Amino acid sequence: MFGNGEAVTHSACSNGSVQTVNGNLEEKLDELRLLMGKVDGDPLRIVGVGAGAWGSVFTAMLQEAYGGLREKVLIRIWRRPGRTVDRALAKHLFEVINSREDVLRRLIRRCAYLKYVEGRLGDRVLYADEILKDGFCLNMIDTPLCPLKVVTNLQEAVWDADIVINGLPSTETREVFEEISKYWKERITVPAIISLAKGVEAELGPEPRIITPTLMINQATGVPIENILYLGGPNIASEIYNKEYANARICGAEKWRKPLAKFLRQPHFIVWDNGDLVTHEVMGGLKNVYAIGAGMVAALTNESATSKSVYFAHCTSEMIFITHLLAEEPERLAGPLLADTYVTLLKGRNAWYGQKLAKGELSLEMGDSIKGKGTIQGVSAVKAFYELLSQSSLNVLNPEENELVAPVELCPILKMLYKILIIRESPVEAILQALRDETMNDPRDRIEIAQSHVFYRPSLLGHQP
Amino acid sequence: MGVVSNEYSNGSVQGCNSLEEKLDDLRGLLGKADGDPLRIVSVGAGAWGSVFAALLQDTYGQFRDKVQIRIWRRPGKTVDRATAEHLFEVINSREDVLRRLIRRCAYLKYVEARLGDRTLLADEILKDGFCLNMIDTPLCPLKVVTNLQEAVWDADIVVNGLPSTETREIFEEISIYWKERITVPVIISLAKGIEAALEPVPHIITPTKMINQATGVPMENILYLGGPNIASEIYNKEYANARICGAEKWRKPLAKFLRQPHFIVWDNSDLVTHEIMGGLKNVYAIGAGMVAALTNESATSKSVYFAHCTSEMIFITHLLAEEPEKLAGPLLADTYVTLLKGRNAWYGQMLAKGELSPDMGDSISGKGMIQGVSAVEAFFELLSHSSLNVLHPEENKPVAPVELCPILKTLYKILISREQSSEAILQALRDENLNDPRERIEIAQSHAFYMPSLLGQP
Repeated sequence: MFGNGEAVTHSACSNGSVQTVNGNLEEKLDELRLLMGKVDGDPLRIVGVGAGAWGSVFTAMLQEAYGGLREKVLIRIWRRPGRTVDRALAKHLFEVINSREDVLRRLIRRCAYLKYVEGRLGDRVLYADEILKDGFCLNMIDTPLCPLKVVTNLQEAVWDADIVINGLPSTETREVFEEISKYWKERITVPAIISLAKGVEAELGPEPRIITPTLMINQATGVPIENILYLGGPNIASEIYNKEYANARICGAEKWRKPLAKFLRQPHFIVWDNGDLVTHEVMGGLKNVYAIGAGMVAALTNESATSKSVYFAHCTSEMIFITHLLAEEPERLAGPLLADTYVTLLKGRNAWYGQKLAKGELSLEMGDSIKGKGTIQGVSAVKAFYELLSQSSLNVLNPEENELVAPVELCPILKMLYKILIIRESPVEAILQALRDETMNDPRDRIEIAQSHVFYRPSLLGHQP
Repeated sequence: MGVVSNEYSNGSVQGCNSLEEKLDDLRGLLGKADGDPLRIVSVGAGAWGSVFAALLQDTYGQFRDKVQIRIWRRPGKTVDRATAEHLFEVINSREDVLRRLIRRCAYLKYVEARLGDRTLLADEILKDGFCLNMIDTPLCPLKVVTNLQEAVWDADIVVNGLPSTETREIFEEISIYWKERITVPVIISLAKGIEAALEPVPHIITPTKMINQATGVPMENILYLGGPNIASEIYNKEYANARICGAEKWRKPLAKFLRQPHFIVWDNSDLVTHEIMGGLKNVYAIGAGMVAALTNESATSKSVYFAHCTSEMIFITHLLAEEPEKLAGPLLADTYVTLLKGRNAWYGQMLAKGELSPDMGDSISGKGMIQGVSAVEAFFELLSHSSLNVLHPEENKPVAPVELCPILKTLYKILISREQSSEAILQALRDENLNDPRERIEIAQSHAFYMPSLLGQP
């Protein structure tokens, strides 16, 4: 405890709270506990599922904020066991530890240091789950987190959870939550689930539509969609953990989104709430599609700001065009969507992946799960959006040729990304050719097309017409 | 003729035949007879004005009987010793430039200046292709005229490369020399700044309007060319898009004439809105530079800033444009590059780092005019006027539009009234009472805000 005063601890890696323990934090926790019907002596159980960068940071932020209130809340994170840390990474981790006095002291104090020396020397194999207990995320080695309670058994992790944070890639969400549903078969209480996943899938029959991670969770577990929320926004996980000022948006039913926004909000992490779950979740996936292309353009033109701008003009107009198919009032997405896109294009692993492909340092055959980076969600999203927008049942009128075409024909960048990343019939350089096609429409024309016709298809997001 | 690929060639980068055709089309449109060359004059030698003239010279300069391209700048501006030393390094590091100067017997004056034995003038180095605001990017040699009357009296096409703050003054002088003209010239303006006039009703004065008022040339003959322009990148053949806005008679043929493989020019009829948006983005570019410097290039903080400044820009477009959504993509794309790179963002960074201060003024040696500063004042004054009040959705009372634009207000306090330091921009962003930027857009879209009088329209 901090005695009489309301002292504020500023250390980014403190084991305790970064806000006053006596005041706001305990109040916020108590409000949430009450809403979930927790009585004294029954802690609120929050579980992060999946230990990618953002999932780990999210859990660590909660641990730092609320972990000091041990009788009222327990925070843990699940990840699969058995993932080894290779020798090069172990060496790098050792350097990180030794360069950070606070981290070094903490490990020494917890008698947890020597295994890293052994790992450095190659005398011992370290595992991702054991280093995560000490706060090292395999996808974010340079940014040590606070120590976390790590559980590698999924049943033990989630069976009694009150709040589950989905930190899995969308490509693993369905599978893991189907397993979770077995352990929840006899539950009485219904948990709240917050999903951080940004990928999407396309389902083509009986009607073409997008399957979002929250819908996957709903289908896999039977938890009502009212209890499932999406948290989106720009997230360079290491920057958020280092207290860079960031905004996020929690989307879902009103019952949960407002109290959760309040609970999650911190001085440097502002959380707004929004009722439109599906559109924001889908847009989170859409921007990753174009982030890959942005990375390619940046690398191929040696970071030319002018070429980035040309790319941005075209990709934003395609995104706006696509939002007109998916949302009833798409203009309202314009500012926030493009702002999120801005950071996703600037930095982030999808843009990084595009750069590496363009430089030849990575190849498509290596797959979309990259060591040290995690899953590149944009790749599967390219496939999902392309397949969806290629369906002839969604045809729109091409104003120049005055004929019906699939929407994807008006999205040349998406088409080109599909050719580069999925069917692989075009080299990475083709992205520049797509941009430099003189017959390409002024991006403003594409927006005008979208705005001058009624394109909205409620069925694409599973809404009832 | 074949296609020449050398990007520093004095000749064409396209087949001669198609270029000559484009030139002939334009000459025909302007009524030029054989033996009477088309005269194109760039007025003002900032980075973009110089690059624009150089692109035309590189492309069409070979057709000496059909077109003459020249650039006007004021005489007498000296090149300081440090810049002369740097220029000498640039010259010596570029074999093509060095060879050219030696061949033209124009090299030794740079040696003398390097040694401090001679003072160079901006107009004399521009003849050799060196723009004072863009020393690192040598251009092709240009015909430089320092007498304004001699430069413009018989011009067919005038390119306005002046800052907006000098446009009215210079074109008023030009109108004296044009008093007895028979033909009406075509004017393309590159200027991005604006002014605010508060009488008889508050409205914006754009550079094209200034030119129209100063010279009497009809608006039909005045066009605005906008788009992201990092001048040195465009000259180095980075792929770029631009948009020429104005009356149909001229904008389509000029778009065709100006278009090159690496410089795509689209045409658009909405002159006023695009010209103003070109100015608006410079306002927020300064703030972006401040945020970048204060947060050590944090992408997360840049994104927060971008969300708020784009929502303010969208809000402002709803006051100025009848169909503002159509600006969303291109406006924000231009904003993207302006925030990333460009002298307004650079200026914001320098202020935040303490390497420059507002007292030094908004014309910086080596960079040129920072148009965003005067634009902050113009937009702030305009949007502060009580006759433009809008309903504040939370407090349910009328407020001036500027009250819903906290970033613009803060930039005004930092740059104009100077009652706050650069750090205030972060405080404005981190105010927990700040509305979700989406709400600002929703406010704009849910009410009819459009005020034609702001753009001088009925």
